[in-house]
Amino acid sequence: MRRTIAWIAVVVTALLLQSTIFSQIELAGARPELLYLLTIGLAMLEGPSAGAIAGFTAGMAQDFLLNAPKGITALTLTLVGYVVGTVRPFITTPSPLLPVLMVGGFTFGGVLFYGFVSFLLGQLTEGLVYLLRVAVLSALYNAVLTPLFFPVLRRVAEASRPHKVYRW
Amino acid sequence: MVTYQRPRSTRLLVLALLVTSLVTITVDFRSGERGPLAAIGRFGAGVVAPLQEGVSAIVRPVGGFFSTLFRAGSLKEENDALRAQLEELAGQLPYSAALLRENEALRSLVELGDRLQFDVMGATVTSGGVSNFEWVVWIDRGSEDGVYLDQPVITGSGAVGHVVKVTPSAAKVMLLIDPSSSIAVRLASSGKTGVLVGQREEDLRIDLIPPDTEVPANERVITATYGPGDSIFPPGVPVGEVSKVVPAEGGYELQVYVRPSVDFSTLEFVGLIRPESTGGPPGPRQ
Repeated sequence: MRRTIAWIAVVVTALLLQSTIFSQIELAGARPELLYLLTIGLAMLEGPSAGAIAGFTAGMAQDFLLNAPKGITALTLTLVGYVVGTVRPFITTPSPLLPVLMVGGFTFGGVLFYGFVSFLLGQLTEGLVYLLRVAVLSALYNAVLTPLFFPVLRRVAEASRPHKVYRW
Repeated sequence: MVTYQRPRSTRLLVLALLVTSLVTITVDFRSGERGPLAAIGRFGAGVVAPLQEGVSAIVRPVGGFFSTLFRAGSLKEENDALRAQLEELAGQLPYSAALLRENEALRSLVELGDRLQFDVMGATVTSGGVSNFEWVVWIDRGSEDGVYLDQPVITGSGAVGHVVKVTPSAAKVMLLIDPSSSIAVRLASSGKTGVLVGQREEDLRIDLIPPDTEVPANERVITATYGPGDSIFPPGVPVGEVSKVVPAEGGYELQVYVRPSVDFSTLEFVGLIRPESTGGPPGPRQ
């Protein structure tokens, strides 16, 4: 229960940050995708089902609060959370850069998937080149922000986990 | 949330979430802007918008600083400035095109006036004639501006016609192509004078040219005068070029056809030659 509340607080904070500060700070015209970062980080720390639920919640919140086409972000992030949580145990590298790489890679894939679904629904107004550009830039941006946010996520995960402490 | 789950229940959970997402997408997509989901979305956006505005007001300088930093130089501000400028200019474009045209027309008018040493007063053509039987235009200058009857009207390319009716703020100008218009002209090389008569949409015709006159092709035709105050136009105003020469029946004169240098179908800005330039005040001519 405490864990759930803690993660909800994290999602809401990320959402507000995303919609305020990070909608202002652009990197070459692209914004970071904080909720992708959050979902990927949380899935790495907590496993596939928590990742999927967090992704779904964060995606729905983003879709509804930001009045985007509804459900696409939720679909994307659910999948991202599940996939990240599923593949995480099979990656054994001790590199401290792993979160950065995971966030970058999965943000890229997630944004592309989002664009693909939008395209299928006829909601994608820009071309493929623009989509690729945005995917690359937001992935980079997220990767850069990971060292800033991932420790916070890990702190929350550890604090809200009563018995065992896992450090990846 | 449960920490340890069997893979099967995780898959079920994920499946349920995905289906929910897909249903949301479908419902939202099908119900559009009037559906319940859109209403919730609007509510959400309404809640977030003030927050966004508040934070934006604080953060914008910071954000602006970062983006400026990231974009290597002041590209962002320059962009904004240029975009604003572009919009402004786009709004002015039709206006400037008209101004440019007017400017060009007036400049050529002034140049012609300078060359022939008379003063011109600019005027704008407001409308053409309403009748099918007169070839006239109305201009936006009248007796209040000093316009008088029979005052000559020109453009930068040459003679246009003369004033046939004056009101306080407008005047009617009969064009050279009107059949009832007749002015004195001179063939530039031979110096022979004649009377130029309008032929409606056809080329103008010069009467009273002696039959033995040599008229080269494309000879220039200019206005002529016999003495101060006896002609509408001051001497030397271009009229057009000779297009065709036909010996008249009986052989007493040549009929010389002239292609006017002014395009009468697109008159827009014209000039009125001031009376002091025509060699006589308007009064005696009437």
